Amino acid sequence: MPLILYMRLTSFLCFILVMMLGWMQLYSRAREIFNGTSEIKAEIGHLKSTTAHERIAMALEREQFLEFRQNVATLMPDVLKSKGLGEEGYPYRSLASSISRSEAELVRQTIAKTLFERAKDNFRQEKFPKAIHGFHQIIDHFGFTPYVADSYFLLAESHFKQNELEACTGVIQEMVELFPHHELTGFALVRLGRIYQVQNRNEEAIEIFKTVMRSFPQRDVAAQAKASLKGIDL
Amino acid sequence: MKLMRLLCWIMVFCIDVHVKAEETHKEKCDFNRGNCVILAEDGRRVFRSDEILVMLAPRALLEIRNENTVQLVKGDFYIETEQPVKLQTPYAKIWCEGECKGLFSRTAVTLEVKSLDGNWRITRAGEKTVYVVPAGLQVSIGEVAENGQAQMEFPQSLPWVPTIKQWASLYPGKVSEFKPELEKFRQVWREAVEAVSVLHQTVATRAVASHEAEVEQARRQRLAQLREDQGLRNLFRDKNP
Repeated sequence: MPLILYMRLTSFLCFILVMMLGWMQLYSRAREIFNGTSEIKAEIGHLKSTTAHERIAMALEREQFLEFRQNVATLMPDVLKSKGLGEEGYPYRSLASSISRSEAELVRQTIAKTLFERAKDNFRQEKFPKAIHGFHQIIDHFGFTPYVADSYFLLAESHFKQNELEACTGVIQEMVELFPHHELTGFALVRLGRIYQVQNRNEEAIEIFKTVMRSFPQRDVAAQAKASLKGIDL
Repeated sequence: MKLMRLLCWIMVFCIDVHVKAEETHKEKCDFNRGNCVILAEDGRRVFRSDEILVMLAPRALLEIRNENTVQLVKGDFYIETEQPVKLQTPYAKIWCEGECKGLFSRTAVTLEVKSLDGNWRITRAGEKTVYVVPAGLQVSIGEVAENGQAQMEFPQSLPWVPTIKQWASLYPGKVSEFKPELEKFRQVWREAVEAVSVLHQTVATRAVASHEAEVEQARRQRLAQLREDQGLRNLFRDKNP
């Protein structure tokens, strides 16, 4: 008797459990349908697959472009030999510079040199705002060319000439961090010493001049620092 | 009892089962018809046909362009082939005559070929010469340089550990099948290392000899120039005592 009762109770509990599960399933499905979740899920799935297809298409197009570029690059040496000279050859040289990395680097060097010469001319003609703009362009966009240290130095000088002492000091500080052993950094530090001198910070100026004499083996730099130090003593 | 069975059936019916099917979503790709793209997403993916077996590493992409031509677009690949299938990249074309196995790594600017079995043949962009890469050697090919030819370095012996790791990660068979292949490859690799070291030595000796000849020629030219300058000076002194 108790066994039958137990069996019935178990069956009843199982039935209740299954009913509950069924209801929960039904509820969750109904919820998805009526509040639009299923539609959003479907849309997300569709968007994901579209993005994946677009990504593949893009990779293939990039590959085709790369192939085209390499094919052109294989033809360029012969074309440059026959048609790449003089003014008429400029389009071919320009094309070669865009497909070959080393050529592109040469073009970048030339651009940097032109910019530097222009900025230096402006500096000589005392057009300091224009010169500052030019030197900034070289520092920001052509950081790996040999004109950077010179640009920093002339930038500091331009600021000094415009009596922008704080900006000048900032540039010199950057020079000390980036090119600690460069001759121009030594000259820039001498300039910094003179700025301190103008600002009646003689002790700091002396310290700067002594540091320059100690740290820069270049004769010109040391001579300038020594002369400036004597000026303070007088 | 019947009631219990019924309840169990209802329960099983209600349970929402999600089985991650790997192969179900994949498109069919007919090698002989071409024009299909195979992308391995988060896991590796295998492509088999009568002509070729390719195992793609995660996120690798290849394109079957036309009959017997496979474009390796990006990522790492393990390739087995017995047919003259052509593998293409913008920097080089690779094929095999006979039975070959190899690992290929393609980036935006380079292609690395590691030969595991057989002789892979390579022509780089801008040059018609066919280079042979035997088993146990690797070669890297880069972008086309100013001379109009893709940059290619001298074939080198495969670095053992990284190669085996890469091979193991892309091997399409079971571990038990991989072990005997690896043992066979070890012998081939040893021979390749020795052969390449001899080859390197010969090339280096040739380069040194060629350099020495150049230096000697430069020295002779400099001496000749000095003699000519001295002669001119003497002539000048004679004329202007």
